[in-house]
Amino acid sequence: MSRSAAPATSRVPAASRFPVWLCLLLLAAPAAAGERITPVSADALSAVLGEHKGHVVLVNFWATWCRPCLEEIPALMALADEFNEQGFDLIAVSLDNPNDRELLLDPFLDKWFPDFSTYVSLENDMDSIVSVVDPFWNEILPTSYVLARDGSVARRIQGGSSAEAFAAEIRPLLARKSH
Amino acid sequence: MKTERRFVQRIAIACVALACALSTIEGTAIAAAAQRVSEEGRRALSPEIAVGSDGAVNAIWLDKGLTADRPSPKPRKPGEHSHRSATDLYFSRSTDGGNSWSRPVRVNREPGSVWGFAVSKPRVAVGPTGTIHIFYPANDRSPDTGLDVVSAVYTQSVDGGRNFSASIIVNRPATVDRSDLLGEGLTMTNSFGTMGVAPGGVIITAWQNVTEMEDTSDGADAVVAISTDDGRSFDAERVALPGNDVCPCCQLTLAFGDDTAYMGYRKIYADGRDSTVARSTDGGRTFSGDGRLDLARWDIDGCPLKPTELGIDGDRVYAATFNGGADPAGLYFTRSTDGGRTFGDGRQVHAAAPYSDAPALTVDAAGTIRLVWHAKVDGPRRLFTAVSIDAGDTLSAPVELATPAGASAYPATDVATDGSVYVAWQQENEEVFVMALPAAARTAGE
Repeated sequence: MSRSAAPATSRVPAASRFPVWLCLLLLAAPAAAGERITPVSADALSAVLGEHKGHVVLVNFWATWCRPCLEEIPALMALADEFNEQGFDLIAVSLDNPNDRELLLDPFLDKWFPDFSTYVSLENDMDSIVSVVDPFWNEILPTSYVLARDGSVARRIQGGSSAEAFAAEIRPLLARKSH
Repeated sequence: MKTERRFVQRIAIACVALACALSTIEGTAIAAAAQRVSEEGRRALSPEIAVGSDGAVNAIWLDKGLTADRPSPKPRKPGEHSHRSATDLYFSRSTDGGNSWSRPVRVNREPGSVWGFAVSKPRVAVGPTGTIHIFYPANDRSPDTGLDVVSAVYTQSVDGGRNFSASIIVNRPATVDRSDLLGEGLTMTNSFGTMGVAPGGVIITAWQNVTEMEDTSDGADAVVAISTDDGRSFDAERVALPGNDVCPCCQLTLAFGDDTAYMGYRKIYADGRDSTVARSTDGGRTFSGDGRLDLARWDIDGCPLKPTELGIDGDRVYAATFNGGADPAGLYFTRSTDGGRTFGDGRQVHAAAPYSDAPALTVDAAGTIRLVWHAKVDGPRRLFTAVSIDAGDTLSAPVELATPAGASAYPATDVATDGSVYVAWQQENEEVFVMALPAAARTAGE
């Protein structure tokens, strides 16, 4: 089963772009597909982020073995609720081993965060997937990136953070209208 | 597919050879050609390397199975290593200066028994009698609680790595369930450890135990177990650094002077999780001191995953680590001239790189310091080196090593008695390579 999707710079002919885009959404958008955990490659994540342009996005990289990551998940979920209607999207990406999905990630989310939707990286190296957002990531977790409406990284936040601290970064970007 | 891969590999090797030839002209590091030591078609990562007094080079690495099984791995079955990471540990050896390598052998007897995380790497060392010592974290079950744990495991080879002994669990059995800290399926960890062999042959194993952690912002204890009979037995574990202030996700390191053992760790202070050096003058039984590195404080509520690499030359203690509290963040080098009690002269190693990390540090018999690390300059991670021939007063400019194209990362080094430094690393995430760097004093341009 291939989960790779056409990247943003795909050379797929224009006529066939729509089906690829549709497949991408179905495969790689947890909320849209009703999936809570969705495997994602680096290429697919790049495409997903492209689809969110026009919104303010917080990309959060986390792992079940990173306790500070877990402690900020409630704050992230609260942010998604608070700002969703203003054009804010939360994209969480687990860096857990995809082998562990059934035995670790599924029961973990069932128990602790049943309403939390996340991607899980298919890359065998953490750097490969985070580099989609930050080519110079310093391999620290948790790491979150606040993306402006044009898709550019407005802020990198490392270490556990609070809802207030995240909101302080998000609000000014939401206030800026898209062009 | 295989043919295409071989072709790419040959091109890469040819490029390396060409780069090596050119490097002598350009004044960059002169290195023997990189050799792949892991088997083709297998996923190999997180290498470590140790050179014996006989000059033989010993490499170990984690093995995550067949490359063909990626990226759609088979989910594990219930009861099959139910937590986190089930990998194998492989070993290979070169007796001709790294030009050829023995067929890799699996070190762990039970397949999948190694708790294989790159940030809690297995360690290898060679004792004065030639015994090869290996220390690694293993998936285990506590005989007391019956629950899944990670144990600290030792094994050895006395025949040059052809066979490895039955493993010895050096930690005390877990008696409590700390899944409240560790999450699903894991109730105790004895991990993020290290091992070293003191000049007299005493083996010190050290690891982190989370029994006493109060909450997730707390630290672990550093625990040691010692062997004075070349690894045939270990004494009971003892807490070397009590107080729950060892950052629990940064691997410990050990280095040795003539009479002193040094442990590098990241300590949780009120104002930062900072690299620190502790000292032992009783053969590793107790550690004391608080040699906090003179680098910017790094106040982070997160998992730095950054060890503190050490090198020793008499009373001089050299340290290298990633510092996220500095501006700019990156790899920093510092030194102590009073046996690790205080540090000074901290400086950034690779200012031109937006990201530099993963240092490996050696000091040869002549006192030459060599650093190898990975950095991103304008593409994927590549390996760089710098040397100091003046006891750390100055470091040479970073020089990129001639590794195959693509990402080269997570170097591990050891120095031979002739001053050659062997570098093992993870290439393109899937393969382990080794190259030899000649003694720095003979290397042009450094």
